[in-house]
Amino acid sequence: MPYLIFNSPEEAIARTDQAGKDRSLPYHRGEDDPTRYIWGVVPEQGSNPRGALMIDGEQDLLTPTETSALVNELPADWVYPPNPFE
Amino acid sequence: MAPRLGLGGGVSADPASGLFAAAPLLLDTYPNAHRAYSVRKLRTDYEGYAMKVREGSGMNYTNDIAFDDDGRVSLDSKIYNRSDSGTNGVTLGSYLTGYSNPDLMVTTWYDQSGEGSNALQPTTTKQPKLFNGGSLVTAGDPARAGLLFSGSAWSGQQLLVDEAGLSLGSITAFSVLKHSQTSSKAYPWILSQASPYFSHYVNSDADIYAYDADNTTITDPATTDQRMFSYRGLPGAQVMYTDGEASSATGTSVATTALADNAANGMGAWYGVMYFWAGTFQEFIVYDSDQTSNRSDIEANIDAEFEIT
Repeated sequence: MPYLIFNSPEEAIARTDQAGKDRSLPYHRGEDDPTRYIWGVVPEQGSNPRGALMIDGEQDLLTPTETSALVNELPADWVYPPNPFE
Repeated sequence: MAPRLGLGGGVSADPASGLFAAAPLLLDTYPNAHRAYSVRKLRTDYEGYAMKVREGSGMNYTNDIAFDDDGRVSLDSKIYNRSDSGTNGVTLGSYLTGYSNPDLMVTTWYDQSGEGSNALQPTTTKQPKLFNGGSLVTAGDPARAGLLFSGSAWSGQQLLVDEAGLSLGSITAFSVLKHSQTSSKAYPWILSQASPYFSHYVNSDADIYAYDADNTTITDPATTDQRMFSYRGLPGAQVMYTDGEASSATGTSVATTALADNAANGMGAWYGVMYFWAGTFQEFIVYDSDQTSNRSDIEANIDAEFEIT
């Protein structure tokens, strides 16, 4: 899964929202529908969380700089939410 | 976003609603559910739609799907509020005639409880499917419509559900679902992701009902058959019923804590980021009350519709 890493979840949300505008998704057309984002957001846990986008399609919406910045895994020091059943 | 009537052309959202007056539906007889999502009509005076879908041809047209004359989502369901400016009131089957192998993604599964808390997904790639490659998603025998989740560990679908107003100790839930796999960890639903826990997950061929902070887990062997689950959440007496049979283990938590608020609560994933579920979801009803005395009758109602047992 390619990921695009951001300094905060808010930045990641803004980027996928912009992609939704670029694709003119229903929410951005003013329809009564929640569909507004192209890619899912992975928010990091912790006090200074980063954000990531799961780029599982529509890579043509990325800039060349973003495409070159894609990574196949989240950073090794990524803080995940606690799972009590592991 | 509440389900609405106001349809173009003055057409009723449910032209057949009068047909159901004589036959009480599940929430007519067992009212006051806090959340209620289904591929069938659950309440006679519910005047909204079953769900809103987005077609996947690239234009992302949306429309609302009404229940058919039998109170179900089917190819005979009529569609309304079309964003492609097409004719309202045509059947779902005819609407899709012009598409090649169409997919229909569910953006909104409307809440029939009366609380107006719809299950939503704003991200295109995370919306479950009602139509997959040209076919209506179904499960069971007789085949009933369902929502297809195609998750794997790190990606998949999810519908977000607001847990507000729900607490341990006074909660009863019911689901009808069919796993596509049972070996890897996945969450059909989770309404409280941090302590206290309240979820159903599947792992290592077991269905697991997780409840409260002490990780009370109630397990049953899992299968890929369509199944009906009931989850009792009373103080000192948590039980999961599978097709009407009580789990061998029970939980003993006496907590009455409110479920933990999290924007990622809902159906299909853990925190919205992993353990995505693969399967077909057909009904999910949650009461903010003890339904122990009604449980077997509610299960009988569910079974009469889906013919699971």
